Amino acid sequence: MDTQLQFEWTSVLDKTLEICQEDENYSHYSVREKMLAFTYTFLQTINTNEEKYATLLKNQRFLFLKNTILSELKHDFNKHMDALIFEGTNSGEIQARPFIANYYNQSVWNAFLSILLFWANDKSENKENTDVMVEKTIHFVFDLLAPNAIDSGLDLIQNFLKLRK
Amino acid sequence: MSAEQDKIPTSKVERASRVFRTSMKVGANYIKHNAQKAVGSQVDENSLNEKNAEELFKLMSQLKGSALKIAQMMSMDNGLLPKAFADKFALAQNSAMALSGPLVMNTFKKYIGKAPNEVFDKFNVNAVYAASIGQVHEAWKDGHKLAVKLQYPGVADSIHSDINLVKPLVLRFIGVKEKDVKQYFEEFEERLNEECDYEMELKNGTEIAAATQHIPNLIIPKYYKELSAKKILTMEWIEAKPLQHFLDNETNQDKKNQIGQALLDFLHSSIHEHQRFHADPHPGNFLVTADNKLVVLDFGCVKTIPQDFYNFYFSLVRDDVFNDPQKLRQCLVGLDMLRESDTKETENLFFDTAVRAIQNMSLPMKSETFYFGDRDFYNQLQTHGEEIMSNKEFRKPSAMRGSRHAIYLHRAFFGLYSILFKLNATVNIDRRFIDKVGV
Repeated sequence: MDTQLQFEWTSVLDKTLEICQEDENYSHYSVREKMLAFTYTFLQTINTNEEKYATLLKNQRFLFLKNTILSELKHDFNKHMDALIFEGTNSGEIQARPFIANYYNQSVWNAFLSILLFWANDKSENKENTDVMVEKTIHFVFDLLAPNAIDSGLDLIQNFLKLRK
Repeated sequence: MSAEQDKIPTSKVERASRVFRTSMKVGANYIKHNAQKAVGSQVDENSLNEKNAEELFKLMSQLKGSALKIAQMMSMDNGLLPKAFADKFALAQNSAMALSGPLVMNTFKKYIGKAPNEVFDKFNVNAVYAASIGQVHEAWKDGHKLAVKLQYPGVADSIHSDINLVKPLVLRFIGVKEKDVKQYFEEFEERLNEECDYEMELKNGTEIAAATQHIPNLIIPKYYKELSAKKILTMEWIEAKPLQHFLDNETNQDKKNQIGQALLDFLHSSIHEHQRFHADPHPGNFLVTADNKLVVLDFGCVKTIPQDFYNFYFSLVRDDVFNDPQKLRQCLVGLDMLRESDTKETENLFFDTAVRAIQNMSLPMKSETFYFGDRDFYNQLQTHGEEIMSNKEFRKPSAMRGSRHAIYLHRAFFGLYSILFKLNATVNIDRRFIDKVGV
């Protein structure tokens, strides 16, 4: 039973990636846009069988903790994310920070999961509110990952200490 | 990516907290105002209004979407908000809040079932123009350039809650109870809901285009039904400059008159022949082509007025009705400007106000040609609303009156006359409708 359900989710992910790769625009997107496109496509795919996937999500407890049903999905998702984060780090969109960088895929996963939960409970017409939610959530997470004031601040302190010596 | 995107407050909690903050500030301004009054210093009502307008404006511009629409609407119909407010809102520029490329794709797949690249030969994923509830993209198909309007997600959903959030603020400014203005807010909500329905806009646009095609120098873009949906509207792209640009730069008065004439004919014809008109005539909704023709955009706000309202209203343009006290009274009661329950005093007050309002609005319809550049006429229109606002008698609950249908009719006329004033236009008036009305 569990394996079957696990497969349900991983096949959605596979299909999502397939659709994304086929889209001619996808390769030109920034990492942030790729993540947006990925999320929209994923939701679109589960939308075709809304009731089933929504019930699956709603019946799960402790989604954010260890969850066997979604563990395979998480595994594949992380693999995809690692690649995206690597790409983002190279393009300068994502700041590589010591220690914290190892948890990047975890934070993206949590954001993704919260979107899924929102989607499952979204009663707005055509799930429009989920679209708004996706934009905001992904922008928030990627703003955190992007080089920001804290990085320049740390850099400044570092430099300051160095020069004081 | 757009930084603006992060700032659109969509969750109700966030909106509510903004509204609350503004209420507090507005309240504080009132206290300050009254304190100054108490110590005997000279303060004029206008400075208070201006301060409050600033706060309200700040709030509204943060809310975007329908709240901004409500604000603009109230400032259009000059009676509802004092001039200070109107001036602030006139500045309400809809700053761009671009949808991300993937969301554009997503919207297309959701409502049309295909990606834009599959539907069009070419599609520009970056918006070229942003409006309060949507953004416009360029697209090409079969050698034609098209304009594709996409609605922001969640706009339609938030109208109801937006209105409920803005309502208490507005009630405080006007100083009335909710039940006295209920019908007007219903009217706002109805129009706003329609505005978010692009299928409705397509229908309205197509119908009005057919009804007004005999008017010279008027262009209404062709709509593409098969490429449109509830949140997506595809129409012909017409190369033209914004009317505002024309207003600022054109010096040839003949050209200005031609545009003014087309605009007036367009509205008059739809009001008098079809009782169904474009209720949002502000410069942003019109373009002028290189060969000096007027292009009408945005049929989101279209108002249909009932026959009996139409008849009561426009009968007042007839001198034989206006000068016959009994008929005049009958019309005013029909328009809910006078009520049977009125005391002699209130009746006199409203009678005078209503008569003056009608005289102002209908003055241009009383002659064959009219010069709209007349500053006295325009000022009369503008100051009338302010006088109503400053008169305490009109703050009473019983003062909230007038048919709900009048709101958008006045809005249309006021918008029309404002543009004609800016055009300094002299236009011919088709007065044939007068023979058809009467009581």
